[in-house]
Amino acid sequence: MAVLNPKFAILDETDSGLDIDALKIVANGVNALRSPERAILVVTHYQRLLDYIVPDFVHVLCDGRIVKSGGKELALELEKRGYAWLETAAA
Amino acid sequence: MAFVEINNLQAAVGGKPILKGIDLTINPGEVHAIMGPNGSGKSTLSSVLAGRETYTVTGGSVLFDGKDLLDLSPEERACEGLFMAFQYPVEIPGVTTSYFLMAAVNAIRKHHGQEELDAMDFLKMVKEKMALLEMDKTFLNRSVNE
Amino acid sequence: MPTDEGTIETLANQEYKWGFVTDIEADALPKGLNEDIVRAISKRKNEPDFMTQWRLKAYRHWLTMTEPKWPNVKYPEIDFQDVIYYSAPKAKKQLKSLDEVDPELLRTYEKLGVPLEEQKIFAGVAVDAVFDSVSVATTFKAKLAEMGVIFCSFSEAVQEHPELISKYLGSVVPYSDNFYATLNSAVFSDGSFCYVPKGVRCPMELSTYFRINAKNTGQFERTLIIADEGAYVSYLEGCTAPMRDENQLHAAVVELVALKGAQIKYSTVQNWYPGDKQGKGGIYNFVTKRGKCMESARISWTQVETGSAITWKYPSVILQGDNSIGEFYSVALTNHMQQADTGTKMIHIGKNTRSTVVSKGISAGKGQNTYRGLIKVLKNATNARNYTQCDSLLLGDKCGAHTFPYIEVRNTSSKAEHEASTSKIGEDQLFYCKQRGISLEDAVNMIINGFCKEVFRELPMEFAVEAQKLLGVSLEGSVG
Repeated sequence: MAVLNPKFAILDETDSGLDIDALKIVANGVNALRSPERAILVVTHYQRLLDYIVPDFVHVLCDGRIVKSGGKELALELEKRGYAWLETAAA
Repeated sequence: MAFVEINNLQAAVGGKPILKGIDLTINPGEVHAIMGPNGSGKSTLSSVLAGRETYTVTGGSVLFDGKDLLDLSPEERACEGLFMAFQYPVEIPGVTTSYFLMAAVNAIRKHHGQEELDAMDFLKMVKEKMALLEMDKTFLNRSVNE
Repeated sequence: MPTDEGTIETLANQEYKWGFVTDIEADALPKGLNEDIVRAISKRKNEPDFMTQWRLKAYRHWLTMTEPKWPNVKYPEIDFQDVIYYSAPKAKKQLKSLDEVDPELLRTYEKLGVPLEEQKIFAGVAVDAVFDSVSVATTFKAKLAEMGVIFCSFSEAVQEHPELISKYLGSVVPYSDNFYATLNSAVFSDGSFCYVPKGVRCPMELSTYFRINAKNTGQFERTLIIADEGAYVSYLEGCTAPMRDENQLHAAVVELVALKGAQIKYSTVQNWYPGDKQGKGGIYNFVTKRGKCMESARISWTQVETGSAITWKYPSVILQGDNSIGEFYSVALTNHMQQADTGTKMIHIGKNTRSTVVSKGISAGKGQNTYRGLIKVLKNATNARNYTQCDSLLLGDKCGAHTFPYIEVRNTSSKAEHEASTSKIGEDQLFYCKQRGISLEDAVNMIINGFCKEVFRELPMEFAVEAQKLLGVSLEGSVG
């Protein structure tokens, strides 16, 4: 990715198969690429990755719609409470 | 003007609606995270943005740096600067990573009317970037995603 | 947006670029085959009596034979009386140098990218060019002669070195071998000959370039390469033909003799006209290629087969001497209506003999690709080893890949391994490439070249580049 120098990078659940060390390497890579000219979209199931790549915004997707948006605190809240409370909110 | 602007994006797979109206605006320099339970449409969203043909866009629009993203082929999107890291990247036996990367870099350079890099310049550039990312050099000589 | 399947088809629909016809006067014998024609060919070539007799023996034997029906290919009955067995570009006098070759002919080879003018050759490849039935020019002959290497047309060898011809002709592929080889023995008109003396490492790649031009003409050439004890030679063979609606027959024979400790590397890029998309026209390529290894000798066949309507060939190695080595590396591509039934035979006779077979079959369009291989280990071949790897790649869902491996081992200390795989170019692989900005066409080429890598790395450098380009061209229209 670094070589291709993209303007908009999408990371799709790249954390799912990674152990903690590998996760850190990926996160470091992504962090090194943060730049004022670049937008990054991290798609993930777990909050883990977001301990290392701190997002500016978090959006929660449920059944094809964004049901909640917020800052990085939202990720922490999801970690504690799971998705169930939002899924009912969406329905 | 926003950098990436997704308006009421809807998409289906095999006739089954998966995305039911996504609105999202991303500005340069921002990092956005999309979270959600399995089956919520996360992977569909990234695939649709990258232009995977198995998904049908059924409504809405996506503007990327002022261009209609949905109008571009996957390779044009890549050349315009969209990059997707894959959840389960495929192997391409017999094609080394460095060869693959060089083809990608040169496809994008060509798109922008820049001169294509030769193997020497390319390797020099890659080695610098790899040092930055603390990557192992043997990676370059392995087959793609092996 | 076009689907990948469609693009694969567009890629495979590219035109054949070598399909032009050269307008040149030809000296041809009448159509058909009988003893008089055989005698007439021999006479035109001013051959000694032993050659005439050998041809006649072959012809009489051929009359008792029937066309083989076992290959996995379909084609209409060939009328062997409707073929012209001898056609040569008309030469006004004996040629002494390239300057005297018809400029039209030289232009043809130039169009084909064959370097005939020695001064222009940078890569140091000596070329023998065979146009229809006769050899038109051999380059770098003088330089090779200094080292004792004989590289000339077959006809010339018959005149200048009859002792070598009578000793080795038919020693690997006897005149009675098989239907097409026997036909070739009776009517072959020219070809290349090479002899590398004891202990000499041939300093440059030797190359023959075959071109079928005249209509209704069969091309029957014969190549004989002898590497004397401890010698080394690398030999390249390339082929093209004009686009014609009717099928043309090409029945060649190649014999390789590697004496004690010698090494022969034989590479082919075969790009005969494959016929059009509907399967009209194209070359029937029925070829017998075989090499014999004496003690500690080594023969490698490398072939890239992209042309011909039908390909039927099994470059083989007889591992006669102890510790000898046979290798076969093959890429066969069939597109549109092309059919290929190709593979190898490795016959282990000596002790500690080794053979390696790597076959890569690529099918696109409605192409049918068959690998047929025989590994035979005789009783006395103790500790013989074979490794066979046979991979097929399918593009689209109308093509086919077939594998017929035959393994006969009559010796308990020997080992034969066989690995096979069949895969399709996946939508995932293509999408991954496209997402990195690589066009579909380049992506398919890249994947195919990756698939063929083990074979391409056996080819001499310039040839490998050529082969990669050729695969790309042959597939144009198959992705879409």
